Amino acid sequence: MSARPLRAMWLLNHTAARAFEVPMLKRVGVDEIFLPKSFPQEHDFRSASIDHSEDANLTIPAQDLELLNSTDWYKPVRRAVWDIVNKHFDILFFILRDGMAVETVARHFQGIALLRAYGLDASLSYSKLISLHKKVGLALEKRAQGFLVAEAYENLAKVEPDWLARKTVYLPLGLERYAVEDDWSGKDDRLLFICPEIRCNRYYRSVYEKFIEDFKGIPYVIGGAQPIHVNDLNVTGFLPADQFERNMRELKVMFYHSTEPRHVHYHPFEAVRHGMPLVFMGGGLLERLAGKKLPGQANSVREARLKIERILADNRGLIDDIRESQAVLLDAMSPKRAEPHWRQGFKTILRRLPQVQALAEARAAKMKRVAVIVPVEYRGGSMRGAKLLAEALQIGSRQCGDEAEIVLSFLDDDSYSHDEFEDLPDDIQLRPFRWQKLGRQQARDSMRLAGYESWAPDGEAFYVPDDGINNLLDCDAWIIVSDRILYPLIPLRPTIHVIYDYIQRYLGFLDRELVDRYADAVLRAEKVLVTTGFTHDDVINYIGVPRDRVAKLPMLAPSFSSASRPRTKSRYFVWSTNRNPHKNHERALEALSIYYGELRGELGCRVTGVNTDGIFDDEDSGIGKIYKRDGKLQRHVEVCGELPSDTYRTVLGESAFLWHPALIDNGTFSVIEAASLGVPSLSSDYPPMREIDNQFFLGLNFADATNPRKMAAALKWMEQNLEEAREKLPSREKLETQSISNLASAYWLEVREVL
Amino acid sequence: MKTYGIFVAYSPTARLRAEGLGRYLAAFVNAATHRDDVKIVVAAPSWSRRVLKELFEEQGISTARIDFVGPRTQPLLLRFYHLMDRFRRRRPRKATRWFPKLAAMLKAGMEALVLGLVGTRNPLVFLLYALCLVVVSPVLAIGILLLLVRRAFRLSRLYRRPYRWLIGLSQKLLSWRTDINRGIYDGMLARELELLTKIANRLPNVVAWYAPASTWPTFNQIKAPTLTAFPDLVFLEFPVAFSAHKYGATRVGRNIRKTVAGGHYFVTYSERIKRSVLVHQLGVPPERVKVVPHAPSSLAACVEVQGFADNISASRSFCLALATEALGKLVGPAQGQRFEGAGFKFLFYASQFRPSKNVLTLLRAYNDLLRRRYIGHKLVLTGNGHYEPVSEFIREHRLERDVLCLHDLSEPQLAALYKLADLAVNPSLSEGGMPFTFTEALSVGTPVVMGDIEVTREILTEQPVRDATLFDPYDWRALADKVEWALGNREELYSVQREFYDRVLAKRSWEDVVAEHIAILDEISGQQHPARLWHDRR
Repeated sequence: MSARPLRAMWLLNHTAARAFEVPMLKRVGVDEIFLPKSFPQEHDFRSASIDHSEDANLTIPAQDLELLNSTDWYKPVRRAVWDIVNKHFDILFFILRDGMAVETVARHFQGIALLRAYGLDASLSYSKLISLHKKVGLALEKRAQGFLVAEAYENLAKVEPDWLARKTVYLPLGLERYAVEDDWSGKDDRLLFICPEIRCNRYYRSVYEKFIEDFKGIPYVIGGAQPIHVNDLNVTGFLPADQFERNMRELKVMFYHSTEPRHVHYHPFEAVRHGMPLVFMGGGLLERLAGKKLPGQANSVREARLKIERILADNRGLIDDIRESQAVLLDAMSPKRAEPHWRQGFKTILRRLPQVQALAEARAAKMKRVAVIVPVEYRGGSMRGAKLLAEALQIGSRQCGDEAEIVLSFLDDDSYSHDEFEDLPDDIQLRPFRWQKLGRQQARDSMRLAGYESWAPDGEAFYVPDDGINNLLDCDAWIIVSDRILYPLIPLRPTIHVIYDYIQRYLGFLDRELVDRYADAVLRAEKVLVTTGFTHDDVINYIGVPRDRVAKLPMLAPSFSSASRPRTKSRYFVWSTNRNPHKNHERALEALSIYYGELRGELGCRVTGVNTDGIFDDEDSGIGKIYKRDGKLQRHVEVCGELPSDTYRTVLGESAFLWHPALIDNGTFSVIEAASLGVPSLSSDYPPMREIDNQFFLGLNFADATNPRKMAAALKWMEQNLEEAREKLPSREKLETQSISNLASAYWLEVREVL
Repeated sequence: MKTYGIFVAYSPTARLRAEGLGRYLAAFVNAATHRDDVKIVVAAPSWSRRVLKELFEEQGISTARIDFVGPRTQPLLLRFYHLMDRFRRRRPRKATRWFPKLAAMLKAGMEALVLGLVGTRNPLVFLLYALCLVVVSPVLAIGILLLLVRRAFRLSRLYRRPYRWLIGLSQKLLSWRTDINRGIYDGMLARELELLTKIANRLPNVVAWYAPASTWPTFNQIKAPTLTAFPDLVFLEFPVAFSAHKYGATRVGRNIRKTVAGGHYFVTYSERIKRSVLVHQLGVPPERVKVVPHAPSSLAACVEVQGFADNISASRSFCLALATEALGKLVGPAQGQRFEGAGFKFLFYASQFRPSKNVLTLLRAYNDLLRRRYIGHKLVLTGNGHYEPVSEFIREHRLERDVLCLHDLSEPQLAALYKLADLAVNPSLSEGGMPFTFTEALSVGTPVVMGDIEVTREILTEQPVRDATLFDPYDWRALADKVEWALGNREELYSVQREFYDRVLAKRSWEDVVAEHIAILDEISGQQHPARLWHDRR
């Protein structure tokens, strides 16, 4: 165990629980405690408050405390903050509120993390709640000994599966103020029933409806916070503390409805503390805490009603019986009863702590290895993007002091030539792979063998990369370039998807089944990285990924060596394209027709790009027909096909300008390459191109890609205003500000969040 | 105190919650129950009582101030139908539940027996296990045989061949089923309403009756003065679209004309319906038609959270929870899609799908906004996504992930979607009064754009708010232009609309609507019955 004081983070804001647990933590040896300084402003986050008093006891640097105090602990917390936490804290208590927040606790906290379990209604269990956020279960299981469930009542583990039940430590809930204060007068002859959130919680709605049905004719007051106003004069809504206390002192009797075996509210104890007679339904946790049937217990609604009527009729015999006997409920919640269990629980925690911390430190120190996976046979711009990503991660990890190993993994078929990866640094490993499909049973077995018992397959088949070695499991994370995965990935490693665009949303060329499959893949990822605001919005608005899982990073572009532009007058412009439908070939050809026809365009057009050989040769295709019918196109438009890089750069460098008439995509590197050669570009006007223009200071010229006439006019403008277009180009220094080395650390910092 | 009656005769399948008429009725009743000089009696068929109580309670209306009258028990045939319906819904789950369980039990039992047999060293125990196996095996054999027969029964067509004539006959009967059902239903409804009318006529303390719809000719049999609401007669303007059998427009139209023919007084929500439909088309004397415009419909009370330091955030988080819940009600082409919550941006049109609602124009505009103007909002609708023209368009244009039909929403869910939307849109071509969309959206802080139709102009009387709000509903490009402008000028649009709402519209309340209705009912209760329109023609 570390030499520092034993410190705990108690990441809850429940007022009554805090009043008991903070002193108890101190009794069992926790020297210093951090409490969160904010809580969610959400309709169902009740009974919460903020307490600053423990800050005075914290002996951590002031700026660290300030950072912790300004952090929202109910939202995902970044690794940099956890680095501070790990310097100072050994134990952390948390609740299951926000799945992503819990994931970050599980991933980055190096001490013992305890899920504080105060019980749930009979229809729920903690394992069921965890299963709603699959990634949470996996992240918690990965912590192994570093994760415990601190149950407030002894029977909570009974309904949990083995993998969770055996992580239980009993830290009973109690009341710091457990003595009967007996300030009850009962002068208000009404029944008090606490039922919050009537109009915003189905459970409480049904409790309310049952109550008003069962106790019709009895005068009552219904307390409890009502975030949405209830149109019932008997419902008080939230009351300030003094009015609430007054109700406790003056109302004649309280009825407590719950028969839940594993949950109890605070208010019956508060009633007992004031000496208010409590009539409660048997069969629940209260009966268990009492240990026997108390006079206030009722085993049926009828019995409860009779007792309440007698109390309201001032039956002193019954009232006194109940008041005298019910104090045993407070005894069950006293610190004296609870302390031995807390001591025992903390023995378990502290016994594990050194090993857990040592293991966590060793894991943190271990060199990370990350796989960048190209899931389909990408070539051209998409493969270039994958290689840039691999390079950026390598550079970025070094810049951040983490020195990770990067593996570029691509499909093991004949798509790639031997020199495809020559431009990559040597220390980026290359690893071909194939997709291996696992059925449900095998997927489950694989996860079990890896130590994940909480996971249940939710599909018929799963993919895992098969590199012929160990399924890329030597890597700590899998980064998938794009979303093109037909089956969900088995979650043996945290997954990030890098999404460049959602063209299918705008062109509608994918059928529903594929859209669903690709969307499902992205929804299962820990994180999604994008490079434009446009795609960022698509990931959130089209796919529906929660905002907190999406990170926008600056676009990476290859470093193009600059060249000064030759001063000879160019006779052509370059149209860089490929055969994909979003490249807008038909409109582009119609625009060229107008340019060469009506507008008497003087510049030739050279068509180049991946798979462009013979692009207009098919006379049955739309573009083939346009090309064939217009002799001017045949005279002025030259199809160069796919050119080797050097040749392409020469052709581009000697051109008047680059033309990019595509409809929509994530933008193209070609305009950046053109700018590096001193060649201006004319681009279709769509949001990602505007973003590229802004990021790289390119001075692009824009045209409406849906209107051939406007496209033709723009071509003519470029022809006639080349000097003006060139003047808008960025300097080499400006382009350099967007080099990989300047942008790499941002990439690594995002990837690091899932490690 | 005077007692007035409200006569309702909605069918057992009427989705009051999902439709404006339910919210309208609830708002009306809510206002009425706040008056000390008015007592309300609601005459409703037996099947509507629970639904109405739930609707009122959902709206926070205390049903203690309302008397419900009508037949107490439902017709036996309807009860039988509900029972069969519940059984039908339950049966597939039961069928799939027991078979795998039984199979698992048998498998476990056999495994235990075999393990016991192969593991024992005791001859007597060995014999016992062997005996058990012999006993169990035939059972197993029968089980396997049954399984094979079941599979063969499903796959083989051979057995069906001799019985094709029987299949043909049953198919014919099935095709008549809709008509037979309709006939049975009409008969049941007629009998129920006869009883209802008899009960109503035995209430002499009710000085006048009001019916919120004009499709119940039986209402005219009430002896006390009657006031019939006439919302609209939309199939007069859309005769081809509504002639499709599924709408039952011919039958409904006949009922409406009968109701009008035998009615005393009428109330419409707009001058347009009074003038162009009741007076000009149906020949009702103008003095027998009163106009009582709607009051604003506010949804704020459903979603405005109180009691937090930041009520705005708390309300938003509540709405997100409700909207996420509402995603479970996806129907139509988008059904089965997975989303992680409702945190996406969207446009919202709350309406059922009918020909007059102009949904196709909205879809065309949306397709353009998304694919040509790159406005990446989803479009959320509340109609039934199986409605063919809509589902066909969505599939054809591959908009399954972007156009979501969320059907049968509760009022809090509806309010939440309004609140979370960036913009509410209403392209409807014909309504009885100004659509509720305007006030519902603004009440929760969302601006709105609407089709330029006469009934809307009757309420949006000032040019600045008209210019900001209205578009030509026949032109999908105009709709797209307006939406694009609205999204880019959201604050300005909201400001203009909200100012008008607060200054002009909010001054009118449901209490005013009820007061005007009460005044009319008062007026007519003190008069001689006018002759029915067509001389008591039955």
